[in-house]
Amino acid sequence: MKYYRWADKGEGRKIGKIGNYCLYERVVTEESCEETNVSPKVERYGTFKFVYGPSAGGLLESVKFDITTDGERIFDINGVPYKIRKIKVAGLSWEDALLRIERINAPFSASHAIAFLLAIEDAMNIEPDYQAQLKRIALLELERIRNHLFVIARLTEAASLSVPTYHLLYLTERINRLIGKLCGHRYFFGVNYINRVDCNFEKLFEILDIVKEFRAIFEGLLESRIFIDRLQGNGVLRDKDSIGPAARAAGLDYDARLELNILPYKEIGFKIVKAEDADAFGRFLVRGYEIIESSKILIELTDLIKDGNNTSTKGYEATNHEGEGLARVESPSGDLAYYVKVKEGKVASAQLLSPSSVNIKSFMKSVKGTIFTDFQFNWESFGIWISEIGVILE
Amino acid sequence: MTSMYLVLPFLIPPVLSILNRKLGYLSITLASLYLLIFSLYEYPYELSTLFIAISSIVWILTSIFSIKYDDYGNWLSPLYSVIILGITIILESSNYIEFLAGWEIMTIPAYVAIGLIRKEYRPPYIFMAFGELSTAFLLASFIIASVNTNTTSFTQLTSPLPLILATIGFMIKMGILPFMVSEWLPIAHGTAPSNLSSVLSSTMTLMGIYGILKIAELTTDIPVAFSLFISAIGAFSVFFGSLYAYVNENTKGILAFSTIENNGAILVSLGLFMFVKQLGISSIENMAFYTVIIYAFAHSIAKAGLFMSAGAQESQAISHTKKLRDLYYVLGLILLTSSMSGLLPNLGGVASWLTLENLLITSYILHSLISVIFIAIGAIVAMGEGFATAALVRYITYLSLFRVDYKKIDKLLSIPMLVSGILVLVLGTVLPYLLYPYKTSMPQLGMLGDSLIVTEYDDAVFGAISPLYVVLFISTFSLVTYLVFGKPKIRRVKIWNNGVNDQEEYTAFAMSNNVRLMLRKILRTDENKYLPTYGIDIFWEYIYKFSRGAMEFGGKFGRALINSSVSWYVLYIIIALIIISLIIVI
Repeated sequence: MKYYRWADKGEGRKIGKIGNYCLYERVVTEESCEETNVSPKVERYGTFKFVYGPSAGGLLESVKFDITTDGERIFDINGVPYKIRKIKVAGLSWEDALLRIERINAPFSASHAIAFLLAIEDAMNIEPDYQAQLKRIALLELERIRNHLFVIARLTEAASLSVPTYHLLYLTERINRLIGKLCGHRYFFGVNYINRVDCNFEKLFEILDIVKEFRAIFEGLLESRIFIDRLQGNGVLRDKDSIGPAARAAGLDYDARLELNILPYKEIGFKIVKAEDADAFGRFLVRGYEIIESSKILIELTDLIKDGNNTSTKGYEATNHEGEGLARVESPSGDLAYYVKVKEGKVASAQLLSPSSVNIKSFMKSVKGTIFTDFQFNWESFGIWISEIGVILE
Repeated sequence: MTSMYLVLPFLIPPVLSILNRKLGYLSITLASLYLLIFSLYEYPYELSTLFIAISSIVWILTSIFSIKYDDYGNWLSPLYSVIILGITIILESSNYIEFLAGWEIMTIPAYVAIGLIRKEYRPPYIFMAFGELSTAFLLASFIIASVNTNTTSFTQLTSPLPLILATIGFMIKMGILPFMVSEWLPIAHGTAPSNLSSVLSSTMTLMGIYGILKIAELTTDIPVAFSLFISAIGAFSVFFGSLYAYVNENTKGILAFSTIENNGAILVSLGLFMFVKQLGISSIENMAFYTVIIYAFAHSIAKAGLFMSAGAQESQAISHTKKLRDLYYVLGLILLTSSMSGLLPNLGGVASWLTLENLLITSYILHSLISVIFIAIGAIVAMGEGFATAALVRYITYLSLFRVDYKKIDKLLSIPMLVSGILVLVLGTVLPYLLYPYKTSMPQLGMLGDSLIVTEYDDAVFGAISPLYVVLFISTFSLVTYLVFGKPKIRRVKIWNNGVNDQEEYTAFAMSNNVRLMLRKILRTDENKYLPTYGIDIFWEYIYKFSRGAMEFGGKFGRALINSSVSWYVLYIIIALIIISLIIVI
């Protein structure tokens, strides 16, 4: 493993559970990754279990929340995903496995596919292609912009602000169409290969118009008291175990893009967006400013990607046909990692650490002490996708 | 005592109760019936007769209920009958000494009963302390009145001091603000057995109303400021009584706070009565007087029934009550709670309407700065009525409607309750026409034969309602619907719960918790640690900022106008209220 090493104890920040292991900033251990500081169950006069989901308005995907409440305020919560899927990848070639991996969660398809391919390349000891790495950054940042636009649209929708909601959804659709124009598929399906990205980045600069339009909406939202009121002080989370925008909203500079040198982010140069209040508003701010920051990266990439108008047909050379690889990327909602074992050129096993599996725990910590009307804003601010939580790779 | 023969029968039940409690209750029923019939026959135009009618109806119903209900040992029944004896003496008294004697006979057994039956020290001591504080004020008032008039008989009073002192004494008994803050009445009434609570809440507090009205009628010179103060205190009692009722968890505590709310509403009209009496506006004086009477009827009869409904429950914690779906019980509860919520055509609906109408007409007629006070009082009462409705919806939901635990209860427990419910409905369409002097007809709308109850000044109608036509409309449309569509088809399905089988129960505590949390600064709950969120406190935050930063206000206002902030909406409502007040004044 090029990027990671096995250790007896964790070092650096803890990312989360990956299969039976525990993933840290630079090491992976066989430690238990479970929470040790779990708050006791609350039983008070007048409390009862309130069920929200799995099939309820306001939830995009099937997840059931058992909320312990005495009316309005939330004392305790337990989330149960209702989308458990066993996906078989063992014994498949990396190409066949990738077809399944990139479909685990379409909105994060690039993150999943790239992390998986980086792990495969690590396991097979394939020398990375610089141009392919740059293109992968482009895909990840396009995905980040699209996701953040969508998350902010969900937040404005929860506040019944229809004009910004539909405007943001329109911009999301424009991003989808731009991705479709660049890569032939709106969700990057069939685009990623080992050391290869089949996209034409000639028109990547069009992102500027979209982000310009977004900035106007973003500034408007920052002046809307009714919107800000719903987010400020809602779902405060200061947790060193948090990841992605949730961690950065609490002032933590957690970002896989700068922690590891898997992708050449450092060469492009960008700054980590952080907030201080650690609440839903902080998470909204981080996402909003990350859209702008990502657009700057993309513009930078228009100069760096040399064969932007040509689909690369370059092959790859594998020195190993057996080995293990672990790679982590910064998906729109935080760290996403794959740990794979390759045997005889085929995938022997794969383990996934999805950002949503970490974020849902963070969400459940942050929701305690809030009230029902805070719930939707807090939930949407984490940008959780249930589809990737219930995945069991076999 | 002018009518000793009406009191004498009430000496029998305490003796009979010691021998056999059921016989005791039966004898109270008969004595009350006797008192009712003979008072109506002999003294139909006396003020006391109206209060006797209210009290005896309550005693008849409560005593029938007690026959089955009372399993509290040997002492409840005798003490219960002595309390009633005391109230009868008050109602039949013709001088201060008799009144005071009745007052003590009524009060002492009440705290003995609470102490003996619950075997707790605090509730009876609280009751005793407040009961005797009330007596002290009454004693002072009556001594001054007797010295001033050289007689102990009820005669005209020129000094307002006896009225002021007596009103404070009576207000203590009614649990009105600021005495409500100590929550003595809910503690005492909530601790007593239901039949006793019923008598305490319905008829003991009624004596406070009777006392104020009686002394106010005798007083020729009432300070305007005092009457306004009384109305204002009444309005705040309505608001806080209903607010506390809504967040209370004890079924009897809810009803006790509701008693404070109703007594507050009656006090508003009593204050208005004193105010217009002093100004010599006779039409509003009459309207306020009958509002007090109608409200007293509505409250006492309904409250008696509601305490009986609480008595049918095993648990006093509303979150642990069993939902009883007995037909009589449900029907009774629906009628009682709808009347107490101020819904027409029930008596409570007429009373609530008259209370607010009188305030509005007075503010309209006065056309001065004092009008603002009446508008403010009306607004506070209306807010309180809203909470009262919520409190009663919560009460009926968790005692009966929400689910079904039991389908049958003893008829002796449910029938008196149903009868009290039917009475508030029937009296709603009968009593205003019998008592209230201002009626008219509106042939163009088909309202004939003085069926329209009106508020008026200088022969000009200000507002009108017709409970009779509400009954006719509801029954006609229901009948037509039934005849056209037949019996409604009911399809019972399992409750949809997000697609899962969990069938959890939303607790009564949870139902009112939103208000508990939002108004925690008013309710003085120590819950701040659970709610650190900025959003909940936005209203208070803005009020704070508003008072602190008038300079910044102008700059922020532009943005606030287009921001749809809830806090600003609240401010708009307040501004609108002030503007309306000013328009009326100008």
